[in-house]
Amino acid sequence: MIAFAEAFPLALVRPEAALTGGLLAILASDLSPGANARRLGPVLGIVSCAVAMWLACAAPVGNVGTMLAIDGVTTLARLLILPLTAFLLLGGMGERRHGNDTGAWSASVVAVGLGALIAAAAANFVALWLGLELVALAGYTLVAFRGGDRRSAEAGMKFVLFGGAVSAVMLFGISHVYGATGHLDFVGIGAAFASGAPVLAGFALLLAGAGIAYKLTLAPFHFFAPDVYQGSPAIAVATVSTLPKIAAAAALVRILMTAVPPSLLAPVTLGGAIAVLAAVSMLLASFTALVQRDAKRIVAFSGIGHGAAVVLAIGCLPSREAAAAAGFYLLTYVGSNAGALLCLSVLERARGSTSLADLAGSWRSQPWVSSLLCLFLLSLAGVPPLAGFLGKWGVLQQALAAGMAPGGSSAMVVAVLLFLLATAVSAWSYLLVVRAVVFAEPAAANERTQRREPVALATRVVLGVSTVATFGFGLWLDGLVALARML
Amino acid sequence: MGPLLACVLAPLLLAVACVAVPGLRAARWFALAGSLLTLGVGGFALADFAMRPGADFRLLESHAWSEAFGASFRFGVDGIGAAMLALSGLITAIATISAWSQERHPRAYHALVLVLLAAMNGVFTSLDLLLFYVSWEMVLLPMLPLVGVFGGDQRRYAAMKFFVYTLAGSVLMLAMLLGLWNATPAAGRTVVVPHVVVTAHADAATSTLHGLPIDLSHDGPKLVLVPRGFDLRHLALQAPHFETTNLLGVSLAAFGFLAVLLACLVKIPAVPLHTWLPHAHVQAPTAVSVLLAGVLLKLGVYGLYRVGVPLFPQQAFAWAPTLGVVGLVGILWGAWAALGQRDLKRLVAYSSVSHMGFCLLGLASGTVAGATGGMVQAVTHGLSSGLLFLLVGVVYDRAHHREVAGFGGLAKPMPVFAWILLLGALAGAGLPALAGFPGEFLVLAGAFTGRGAFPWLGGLATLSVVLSAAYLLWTVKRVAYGPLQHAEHATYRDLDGRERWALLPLVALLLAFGLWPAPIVDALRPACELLVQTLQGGRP
Repeated sequence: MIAFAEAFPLALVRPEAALTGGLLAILASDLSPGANARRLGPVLGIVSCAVAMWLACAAPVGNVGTMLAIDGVTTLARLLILPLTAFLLLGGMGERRHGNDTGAWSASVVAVGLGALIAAAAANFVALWLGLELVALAGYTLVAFRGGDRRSAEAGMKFVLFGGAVSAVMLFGISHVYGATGHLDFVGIGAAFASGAPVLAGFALLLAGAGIAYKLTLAPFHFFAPDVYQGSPAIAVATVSTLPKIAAAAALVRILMTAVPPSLLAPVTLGGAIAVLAAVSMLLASFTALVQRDAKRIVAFSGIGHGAAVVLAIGCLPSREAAAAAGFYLLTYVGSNAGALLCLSVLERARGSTSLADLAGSWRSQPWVSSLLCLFLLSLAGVPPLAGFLGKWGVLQQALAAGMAPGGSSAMVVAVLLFLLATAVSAWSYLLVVRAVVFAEPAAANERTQRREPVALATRVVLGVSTVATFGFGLWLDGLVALARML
Repeated sequence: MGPLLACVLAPLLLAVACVAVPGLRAARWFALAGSLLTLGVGGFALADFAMRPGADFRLLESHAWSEAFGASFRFGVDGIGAAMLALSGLITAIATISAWSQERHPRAYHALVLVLLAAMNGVFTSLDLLLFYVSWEMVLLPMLPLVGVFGGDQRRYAAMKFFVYTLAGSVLMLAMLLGLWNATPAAGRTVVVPHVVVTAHADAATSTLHGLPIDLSHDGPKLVLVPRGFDLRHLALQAPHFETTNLLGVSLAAFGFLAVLLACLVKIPAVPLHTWLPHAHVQAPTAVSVLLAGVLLKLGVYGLYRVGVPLFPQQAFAWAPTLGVVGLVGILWGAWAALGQRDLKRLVAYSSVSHMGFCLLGLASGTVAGATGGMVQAVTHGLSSGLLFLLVGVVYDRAHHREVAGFGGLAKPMPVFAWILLLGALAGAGLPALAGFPGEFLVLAGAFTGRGAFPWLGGLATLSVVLSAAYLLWTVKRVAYGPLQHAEHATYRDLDGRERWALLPLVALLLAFGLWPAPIVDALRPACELLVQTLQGGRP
């Protein structure tokens, strides 16, 4: 027993343990014969998230063997993932339409959260792969939750095929990393690189990174996102577009900081290349979003752009402020993105779909939800004083600092300019939604366009929190500093 | 909390109150209260500058924001800021009165106007570049629904065009902001303060300059340690260093000035970036048009004055001839295009393009007369264009169209309207003894005494006096005089009480500034003198 406790210090992973307990409790409650017990799922999930959050606030730091690293990055990821999971469960309670107040739904959301926690703490490719797989498998369920719906089924199928392929590529890369360096843990790989690993190891590392790029919907791994998002329930999109991004970003930060030699990881070399790739991804997303005619597809392309912005900040490593900027960007993104998708979920219920034509004039029948949707979208567009602005601010500031430092990287400055261009272009695509929702007249004054869907209390709470976050983080400059201090 | 912070916070709180307080009548009183508060503070500051002219900043206040970024909620106004603040309050009050019986979503409408007011006040009173930028951008948020929801038939296109034009202009400004911050070392930078700045701003009693310690006891060059941050006055002290900071092969100053310039030229708007304006004006409701022409266009001029020139004087000096030409093109193109307009609102919109060109020409001329004239013109154009848009709104309320050709002889049923229209047109055309005159005259005088090609530009700009008299008086003739076009026009009632109350302050000020321009010129001149000295200091 003593040996086990040494090898596996449970004190470090109490939050993960709490969430696992919650997951098991949900599954058990779902087996009970009473209908009321089955409705307990989301509540159990939220309670376990709250407990995990409380534990995460006081969690010690250290390593769990070579598998998990509980450090500042993990803590930050936990503090993002746990509340978000709770709010997603709460949102699911409000938007119970596809049977998503059942245990299966809540268990899947909690499993995505748990997988994200593991991936964010991973210090080893095996742990990372397991975490990401848990995220993916639970995500498949969420996306295809609208059982009878063909588009939901199509979305689920695409998600599974893409996810499976990427997972295989990642494993293939991991096996080569192991073959070339003899290590699976990031620190060991880093040491092998430092003592002169073969070039093959570098390429293998790139392949292994495919899984992360996929979770961040980075081009060229982004093709699945629009189709999957369009076909899935909006609240499922809110889950699979946010939690995996946080996990992947944390994993990317840890890999770059430990497995990649410091000489290579600088804005003038690898960082600059990462930044330019990210900026190209952003540009691609912003231009493609212009021709979309469905709000969820626009949100999907926006997610691609925002994932790339996080990567741009990560390209500025090893500065601690860069990691903090990425974290802050995710914080502002998930708040506004989840809020926007929840609004879309309500409007989808009223209008039958989220195509811009169907959303036309929804402001008249549902003024509050529609106004909030626009607010969240403008935040995603980065208009001050909303939260998205400060996220952009942090990323740009890091990238420009890296570009302008003595002997700085001009690739970074180029990336900044591309980022700005993408920001201006993407604003137009958000405005397409605003135009449909607020400015346009409903196609016909029929029962469907005038229906006013009730908004459940749970949904209102989540929307309220998102609104407060969207306004509150917008001018909280010191938040960037606070996060940097945490790392 | 000082008065300037109140001018930003109070409208925001009142906007929340508009939405929160039930009942449709309260909102307009909130909007009026917010604008009158602004007018009061701005008017008080302007009167102070008129009585005790100076280039210093007054009503200074600062509240903590972020120490790490060196950003604060810093407020302060010089003569120009005070004039703009007063204008913003006055025009918003008038726009609120003119929309007193707003029927569509009155609470949302007045709340949005209040948010707009807060944003504009933030731009005009901010001494912190980040606060300036946030306020500058915040203008977009209320404008989008104000044009898009409350506007005319093509409002959606107009609103989106407005939004994207201005957003594209300002993302570059964001990059400039961060570039400037990064260009300062974390420990700050010791700079030599130009003599003119020492004379204008140094406080001998406390041995400080803009809050920074400075040794004034010796005769040598005055040194000051500037911390990293966004204080506009501190950034201006570092101007020479921005010239030498490199960004992708160009100097940071070249990039930064271009960014500010683009953002400002879109707002002014200068030809060829003006194409959003006629759309936005035609589609916006009357009160929003009044705000747009009366205050929002001034943001562009103010941005150049407050950020562009002080932070990048060398660039501004190098760009001045080009800006003069851009101003001239705006003056002539706007006037020429106005001649051909058939829609009254488009006509006034193009006349705005022309009149705002004078501000740009004056600012670029590099002379005290020109710069002062440009700023006076910015203020008086706010009054005269506001007046004209209100009058267009008056006829639109009665006829439900704005085609010039559809009117005629309105002076018979509406004599007071016709008199005020004539007065507004004459003021717009720059007739002496009305407020349009001193600004245009000073700009032309400044251009004639300017360096290089400016006398030529001034000479060509004089043509616009003929053109503007032509399009404005021709319009008055077609609308108000001649035979009545339709029998039903004879039944139009003249201006009612509310309309008169909205127009009265504008008429009074147009006459007052025309007959006795000294106070406003006195209030604006010292700040303009400093601006010109800064600009001349940018001579290589």
